[in-house]
Amino acid sequence: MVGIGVVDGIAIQKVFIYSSAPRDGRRLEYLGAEQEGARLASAFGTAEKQLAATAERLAREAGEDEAGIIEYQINILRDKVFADKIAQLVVGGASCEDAVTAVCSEYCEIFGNLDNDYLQQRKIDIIDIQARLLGILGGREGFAVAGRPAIIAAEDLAPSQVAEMDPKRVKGILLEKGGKSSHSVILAQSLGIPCIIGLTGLLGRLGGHETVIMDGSAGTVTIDPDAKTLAAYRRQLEKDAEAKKSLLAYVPIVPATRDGVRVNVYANIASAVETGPLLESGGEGVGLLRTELLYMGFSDTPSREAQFKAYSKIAESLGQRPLIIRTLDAGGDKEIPYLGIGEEANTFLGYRAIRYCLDHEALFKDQIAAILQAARHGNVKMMFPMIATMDELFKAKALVAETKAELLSRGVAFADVPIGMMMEVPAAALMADLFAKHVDFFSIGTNDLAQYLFAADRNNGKVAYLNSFYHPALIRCVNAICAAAKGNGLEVDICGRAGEAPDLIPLWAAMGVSGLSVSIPSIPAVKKAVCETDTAASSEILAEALQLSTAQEVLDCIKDVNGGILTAL
Amino acid sequence: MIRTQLEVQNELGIHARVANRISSCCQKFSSQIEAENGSAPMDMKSVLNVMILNVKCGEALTVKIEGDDENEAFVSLKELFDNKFGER
Repeated sequence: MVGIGVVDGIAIQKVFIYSSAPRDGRRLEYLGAEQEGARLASAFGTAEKQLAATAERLAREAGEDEAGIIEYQINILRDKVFADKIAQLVVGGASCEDAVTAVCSEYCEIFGNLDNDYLQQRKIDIIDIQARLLGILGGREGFAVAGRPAIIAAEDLAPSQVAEMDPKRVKGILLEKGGKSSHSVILAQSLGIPCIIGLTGLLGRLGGHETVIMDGSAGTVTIDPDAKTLAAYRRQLEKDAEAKKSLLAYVPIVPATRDGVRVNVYANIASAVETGPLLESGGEGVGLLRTELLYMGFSDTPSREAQFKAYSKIAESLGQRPLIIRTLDAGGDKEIPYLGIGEEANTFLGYRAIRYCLDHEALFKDQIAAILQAARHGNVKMMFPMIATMDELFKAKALVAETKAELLSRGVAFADVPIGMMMEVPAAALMADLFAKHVDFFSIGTNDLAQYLFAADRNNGKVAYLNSFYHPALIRCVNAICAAAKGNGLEVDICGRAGEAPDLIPLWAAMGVSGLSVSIPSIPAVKKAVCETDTAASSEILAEALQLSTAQEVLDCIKDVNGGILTAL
Repeated sequence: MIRTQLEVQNELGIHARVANRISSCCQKFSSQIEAENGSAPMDMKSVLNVMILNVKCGEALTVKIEGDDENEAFVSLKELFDNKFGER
């Protein structure tokens, strides 16, 4: 089967099916009202205990706000109307499994039919609870069950399920549905768990005892492979493991080029739980904290206090390492139903990020205040996404000034922060020399910059090929931004995927990029590429690349840039 | 019996965290507390029911409270709604 590979890597394991209902639809034997009633009560009790433990852990590790949605699920378990409906069906002759499935389906249908995007989305909590109750009734205890290493196969994964995963045992994730920018996928990326989404009909082909090979980079899944295929993938897996092991030497290294140019290697993260893996992989800080995830998936609009706690927690765990907090980048492909952005013909060109925030001052100022307050707990910087015009930057900065004045007058403690902007809109890139006079740093978001530069939606498979990081247009654009930054003494980072391509890193170093913010698992490989770069040599190749006309020519030109000892990620 | 209108005034309307607060508040009282929003009356002690009421900012719920502690329940609920559930 082929799906969309979203996290690279190979895994070979027995599959563990996390399904929300008995898949063969068979009616389970009814054990009598008394026995079924006891099973039901015990299942509710166990479910509540599990959720309470998760809530406590989340409150400790990820902030109380993320725990809020789990508390909501606990309240659903305590909901008398909900529980009585199930109990009545059980008294009437239904097995616990059938009763739970019937009542949860009923609620899912009700939520699904409400004319409210947010409530429709919250169907996920019911599905989550149904899966949990059925898991317990079937003698399974959530993911703890996958006591053996396993590849998890599911229709989709809910926030609490992802929160429970043990990356040491979950070797891969296969989803029938799933979204590229969903919290589950982003977390899997951070944890380095290979993941494939969009595998329609997957669960129908699995019984739960199969060995599965998954290749996250190709998006392929092989069920019960033959001996030859298995051997081939085992070899590849060993090779990958060796390559990974050899990269471990780079974890503690302070990355600098052979000729001594220091390039910081940061990570892109979205939640507090990722700071542990970040530090273990040798990350030197956070070059991009995506705050959207605080707003979506786990919770509702987070309060100022909840955001303050979440940001401070991350800042504290990083010590003096920098933490660049990007203000809300809603819209585009990151849908947050309750914000009411509404449907748009072209979301990437629409009402997103700073455009939305400038229109919603109260919401924006809450976030700004939370960042300023959190700045007392670490090395915090603030960054605005999607700035296209100087007016937007001035308005955003004015709101920061207003917020500071308000905090001062209310006697709330805060610290000043450097203010930077994302360079991802071509209009801003062209004006980089002027923007440089009004901000403290730039961070180049190459994913969006490419799609806007080439006018090609990066989520549209038919045109996404246009968005090549190797195209001279993109190289020229990044080079111009770096030149403007250097000319004004500004630091400039790259926080898109182009920053982790080992063969491009010598060019970025030659341009004077001060930091590369990458996904956590690629940190060691990026450090290695930095250490193998010689900027004197790569500057010459850069000069040459800037004169080329196609992506292929650039690829040919940079092939040997690090003396031909490049390692693919 | 008390019959009253309670307006939802917080910006986001009723969502999961607010539904937690409303149902928990109602559970503290022995009175029967029901609400309707162009629908059949629903038991507000149920967090799922409170969500399903689908109330947005500026909309009002018709609430019926009946029982020994109906006055106390009304005061508590009114305060919760008027404080915008502790939100904006």
